[in-house]
Amino acid sequence: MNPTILPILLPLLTALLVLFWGKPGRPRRVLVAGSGIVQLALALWLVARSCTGESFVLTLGNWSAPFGIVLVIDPLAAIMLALSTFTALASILYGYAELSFRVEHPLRLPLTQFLLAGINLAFCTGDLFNLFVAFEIMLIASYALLTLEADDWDVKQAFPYLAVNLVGSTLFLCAAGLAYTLFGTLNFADIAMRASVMADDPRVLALGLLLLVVFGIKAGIFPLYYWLPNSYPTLPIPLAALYAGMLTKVGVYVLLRVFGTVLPHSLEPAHQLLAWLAGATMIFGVLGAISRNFIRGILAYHILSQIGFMVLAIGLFTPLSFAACIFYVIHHIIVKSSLFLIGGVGLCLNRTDNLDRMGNLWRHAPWLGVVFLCQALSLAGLPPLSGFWGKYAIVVVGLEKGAYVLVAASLVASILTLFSMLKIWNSAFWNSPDEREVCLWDLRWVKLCRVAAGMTVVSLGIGLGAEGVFRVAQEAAVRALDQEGYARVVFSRIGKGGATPP
Amino acid sequence: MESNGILLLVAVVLPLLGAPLVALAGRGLGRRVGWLAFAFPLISAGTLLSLAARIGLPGSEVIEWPWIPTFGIQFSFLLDGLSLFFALVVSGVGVLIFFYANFYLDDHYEHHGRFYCYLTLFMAAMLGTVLANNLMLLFVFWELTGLASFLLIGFLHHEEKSRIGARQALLITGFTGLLMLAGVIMVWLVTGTYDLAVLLGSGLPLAEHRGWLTAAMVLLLLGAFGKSAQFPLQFWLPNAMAAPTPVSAYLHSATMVKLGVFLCARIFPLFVENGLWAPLLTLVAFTTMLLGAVLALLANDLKAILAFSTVSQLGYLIGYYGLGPAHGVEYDYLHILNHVFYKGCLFMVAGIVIHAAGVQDIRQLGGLRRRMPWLAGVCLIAAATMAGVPGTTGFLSKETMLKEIFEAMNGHGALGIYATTCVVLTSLAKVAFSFRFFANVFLGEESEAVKKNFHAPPPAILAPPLILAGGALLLGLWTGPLDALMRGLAVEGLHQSAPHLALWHGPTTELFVSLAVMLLGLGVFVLGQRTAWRWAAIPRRLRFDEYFETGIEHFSKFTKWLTRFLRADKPVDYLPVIIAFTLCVVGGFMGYALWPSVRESAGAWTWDALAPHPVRSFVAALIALSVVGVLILRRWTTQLISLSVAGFLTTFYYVLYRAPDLALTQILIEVVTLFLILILLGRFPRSSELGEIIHRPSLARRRLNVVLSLGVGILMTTFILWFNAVPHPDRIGRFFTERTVELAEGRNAVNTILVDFRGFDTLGEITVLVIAMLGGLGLLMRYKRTPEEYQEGPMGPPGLGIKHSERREEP
Amino acid sequence: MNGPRSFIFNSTVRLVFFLVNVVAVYLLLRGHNAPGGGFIAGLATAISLIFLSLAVGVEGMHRLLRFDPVLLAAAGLVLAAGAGMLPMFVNQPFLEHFQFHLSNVPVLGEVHAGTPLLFDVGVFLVVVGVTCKMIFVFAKSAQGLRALVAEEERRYSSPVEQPIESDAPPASQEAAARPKEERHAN
Repeated sequence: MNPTILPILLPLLTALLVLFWGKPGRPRRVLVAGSGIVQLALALWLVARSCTGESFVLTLGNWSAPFGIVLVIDPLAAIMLALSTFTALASILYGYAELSFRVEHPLRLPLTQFLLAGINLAFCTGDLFNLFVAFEIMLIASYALLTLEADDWDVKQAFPYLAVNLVGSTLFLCAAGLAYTLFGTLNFADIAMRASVMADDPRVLALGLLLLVVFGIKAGIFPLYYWLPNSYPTLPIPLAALYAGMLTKVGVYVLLRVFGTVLPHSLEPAHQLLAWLAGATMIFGVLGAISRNFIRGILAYHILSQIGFMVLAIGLFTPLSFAACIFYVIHHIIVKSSLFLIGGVGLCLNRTDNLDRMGNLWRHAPWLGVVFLCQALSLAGLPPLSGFWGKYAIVVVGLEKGAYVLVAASLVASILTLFSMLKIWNSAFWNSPDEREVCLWDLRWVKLCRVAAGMTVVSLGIGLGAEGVFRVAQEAAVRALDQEGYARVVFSRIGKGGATPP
Repeated sequence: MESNGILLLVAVVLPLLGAPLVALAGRGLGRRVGWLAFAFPLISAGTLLSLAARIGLPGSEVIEWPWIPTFGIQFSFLLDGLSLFFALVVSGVGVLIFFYANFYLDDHYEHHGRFYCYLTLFMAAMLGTVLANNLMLLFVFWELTGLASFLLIGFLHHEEKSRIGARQALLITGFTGLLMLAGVIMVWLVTGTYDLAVLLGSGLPLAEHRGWLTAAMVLLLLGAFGKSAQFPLQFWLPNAMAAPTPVSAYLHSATMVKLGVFLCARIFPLFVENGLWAPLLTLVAFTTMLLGAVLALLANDLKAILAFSTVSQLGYLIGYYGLGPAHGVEYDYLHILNHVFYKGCLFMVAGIVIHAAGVQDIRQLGGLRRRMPWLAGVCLIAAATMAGVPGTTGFLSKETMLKEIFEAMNGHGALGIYATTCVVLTSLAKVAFSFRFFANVFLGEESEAVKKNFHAPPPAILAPPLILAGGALLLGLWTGPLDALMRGLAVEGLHQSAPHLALWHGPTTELFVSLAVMLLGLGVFVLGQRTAWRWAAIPRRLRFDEYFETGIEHFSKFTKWLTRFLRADKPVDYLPVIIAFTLCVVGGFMGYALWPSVRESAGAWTWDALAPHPVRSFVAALIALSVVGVLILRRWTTQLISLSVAGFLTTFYYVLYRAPDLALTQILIEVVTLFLILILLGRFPRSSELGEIIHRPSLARRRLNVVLSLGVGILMTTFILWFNAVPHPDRIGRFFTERTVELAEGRNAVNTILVDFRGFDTLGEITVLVIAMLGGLGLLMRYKRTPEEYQEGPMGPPGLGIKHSERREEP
Repeated sequence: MNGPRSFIFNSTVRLVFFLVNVVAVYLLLRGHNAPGGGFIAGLATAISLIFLSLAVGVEGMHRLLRFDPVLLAAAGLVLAAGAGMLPMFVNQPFLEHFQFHLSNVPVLGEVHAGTPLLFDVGVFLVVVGVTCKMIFVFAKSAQGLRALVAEEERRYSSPVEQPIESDAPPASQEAAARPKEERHAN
């Protein structure tokens, strides 16, 4: 049996099963957690297999490549799958620790699984319109989760998310239609082959720019990020962690995929534009983070700032920078999610995450402090933590290509990141006025902290074992940039419709 | 090699791994954990000594394990004279400091475990930095020292000045560290290696890559300047005094701040040929030296005097490398060792005094010689060393420095004169504040504060400063060991061969200058005593730290303003941004690409080219009309009717294109939508019920909106026309219509596409439907805020079970 | 939708309901070869149910249907996904379709059927379930009734939330007794 469909099918079936189950309860929780573990194990297996061997290809409905839809799991997709399932598992476990099933929202688990199915589909698909469908699943599930447990004020904050993403989806639909007109096909591999012979056609670049806008909205690059910073803080903590980790990174992944695998590599103006927008995103994101004074708000803005690093790596457009981007994505997803979780623990202990009213955490909860310090400094890019190596590789490529201004911007963004992390540290952890109560009696924090610590251990492992992770990232980058290899694998599966010359 | 490697690991990695254990042990052991931690510097110092013996100096050895070969980063250490000298200083002073801290940190402090954990971590990081052979490994440890010192400086974190001091230290050293990283990478891009031993062996291709390597050098030196608190970044160091005294002693005398000096020494052979090396180092370092000395003279806080004198001395040490002749310097070890002796000793003395008397303002101290005669003796020796009185290492240091500077005056011209002036003035100030330090603490009448608070320190605490002061005195008188040390640890490229120290060089210029400086310095001291140091206060203009903090405050305010300025809550605010961006990027390029052909064919264009189909055009016009209706009608109901009309007209459009499936779907969808609208009509809020006034946007804004909307419309139209002008000849759609019967066994190609060819899309879309339904159901139940709560804004995430009234916060 | 409920109206609605559903089933079955299909048929059936609700009232519909349309939709999704998974058991790719041709079937004669039909029925069920559920809950909500019955509230809402209808009567005694504070309890 071809395992390529399973990363999508497993969460989908889990969601349906849970939906039928109805009321929350312990068995339901065990089921979802078990499914999460299986999904993670599967994704890790896929990473191992795809890195050492050929990519997994599934021709859905047994239709040969350009006619039907294909799912392709190359190393890049497999890495993203592993990250999404890992983050989802952490988020689910954290959610279990946070609330007993008696007060759990019954729809949270099924919707999370639906969301996961959408995210995974976006990673696996090898078809432009199917990617649109994946985005639809992902976005509708994320709208639903965003408003699920919100109060009436929060719903209003979620509105920009809805509005901007609808605009994005509309543009995406237009772009998919135009791509079909231009290339006569929607299959990634087929587009890549057909586009490579018409690289001089200005229409390819025009389409590339339109796709840049579309996926820029999803990724949250400057000036398209308005939907993000105010909506994420209204989410429950575990979901905020999942969103922060995965959703914008789907945009980054698609940028990698579209500019690396699908469109010709000669679209220099689009790459340049990406790089400069990335520079602006870094700076504006971190400035926004400094302006906030509650942890979730700070972290939400930091997502943008770091998106800037990843997109800059895409814009620099060398195999090394792609590898740097993938490494950075790996680091970022884990660190950012765990920081949201850590912020949640702080919130649980201080009963607020407003920095003006927090304090005393370092005195009473040193373990939380250690975990926070590891992840915050990793975010700021201190060696030898995971955040440093990605940044390092990006700076190397930037200097190599002579993008001095952008390198300078990334260094400034790093130090400002450090500054805003110190703001959290000084206010929430070190500041210790006697009247700030730390609710250590609320024993949930121990379990919550354990989940965050688990993620921290993984991220420390990424930092210290950067060699292995970077090798994997390099393999993924090389394979993602190898359009002919991608097409060869896709077209090698012959089903109904027969073989087609690429 | 093998056993050397193991010894090295024991020296560096053991404390690194042991640090967390110390923190854990501290929970049970309390303050006794200090003795456990004391083992680490002892072990490190011991192993390093034996390593030094085994290598057979002045040779060198590289010990390497692979780490990240992809980036050329290895876990690689270079054992040579320079690194061993620094490592021995670090671990040796570490022994004294750990010992001292065990007495200093009594039961008034809490969290002993954490303290020793940081201290051990710090020592390990220092050892790693100085021993590293790989430049990136050096950087890794370099940043780790920054982190450890951050934790140490903020150890007393309930005090705001600790937090601020720690933050300043980390931000300054962190940022300059990043610059240094850029420099390191630039070196790598030229040479392809991070390996110091290789680089030192082969040198840099300075001639071919002059500009590039000069930039790299400046960046590296900026890193050194930040760490070693050079002008204008010197301000963080005095504020790092907020830490407990053993930390200050360790950070300032032996370690952290010496890293800049170390880096300068390490890269000296690589860059000294560069024309910018000497001027940059000399100007910055000697300016720092003079400024530090002046500030030390003006300061009144016991620890601040010492801190500023450290700043000054760091300038002295770094400037020394700047002036040093290209073929190598001579006496750098002497200067460093001298500073270690007196500064470590004085800090520990200051700590004992502060601990015993309970005050640290020098104006409130005095007369302690009767209560602590031994301490007074130690302090006298150390202060004399700082002042450069003959018979101490300070004297040797000053003599050799003056000698080299006079030599440099010939070589460097104006720079030499500047350096000489600075050194002379600094020495003068140094004499003054050294004597002040001793006299105002130990001589004179006993002050009120001392009488009230005094409690005697444990006698054993005296041992570490005594050892240091003894060293200063002993080596000052008996220069043989120093000579041997400098000869034994000399490093090729950095050092000239065979320095020779002597107490008496005969009546040289240096001696006379030295004498004059001593007299003048005493004069300043006497003047100060006469005027009771009333004029000693640091002017606001020189408070760089205040500038920095004000800058940070203004910066935070600026970001708040910026976020408010960019804030957009309403769709009419942020959607135009997105649309305008799309227009600029995509439309801009399209205009650029299409303009030539448009201009060419401008005259030849006619309506016939479009060949409008009469019926289709009519329906299209009707659709457009009803859409315009949606825009201009001002009531919900009429707008919705207009929208419905547009929808039904679209059905006709499909019919005209002979797409029965689409038409059927469209009409049914319209019916359902109509039902939905009719049902919900009663729930549509009138604007007044919404509790807010719907602003009618300004005229300019409406015009902008019109322009943007038209722009997007034109953009998409042009897109379609442009792309359809030459569509791809081979569309896969043809495959579907031609072979649906044969392959999918269905005659309705639309359906076979939906369920068979692209059935997976359909599966996805029905999933979307189900999710949408669940989302809709979720919206029907919610927590409702009271009007007061509604006014409050963001309130924290739901679900944690925290009382609603407790989870308010400001955005 | 408390529309006019005259006898004539009711009878007409029932007739329409019947006719529309016959058409819907026809559209569903012939979909593979002529205009129609699961989506269109589902919409038609949904519209017929909405018409029916005009006659019997939305609360009446709940009694009449006896099951939750949400489960219908979920079942449809399971059916569609299940139809896709069938070929996986014979080691074929997900969603591959097979056709069966049976001749000499009593009454019908020659029958062409296949897994696409199964898939289409899944689509049909999803569309019917989703459309009906949405229209019904919104209709109830718009009339100021509680959109969800007590059982549904347990399935689709957190215990600490209240219905958005400000003056809706409590769905059950249990819910009424539940204090507001419980949102904060763990």
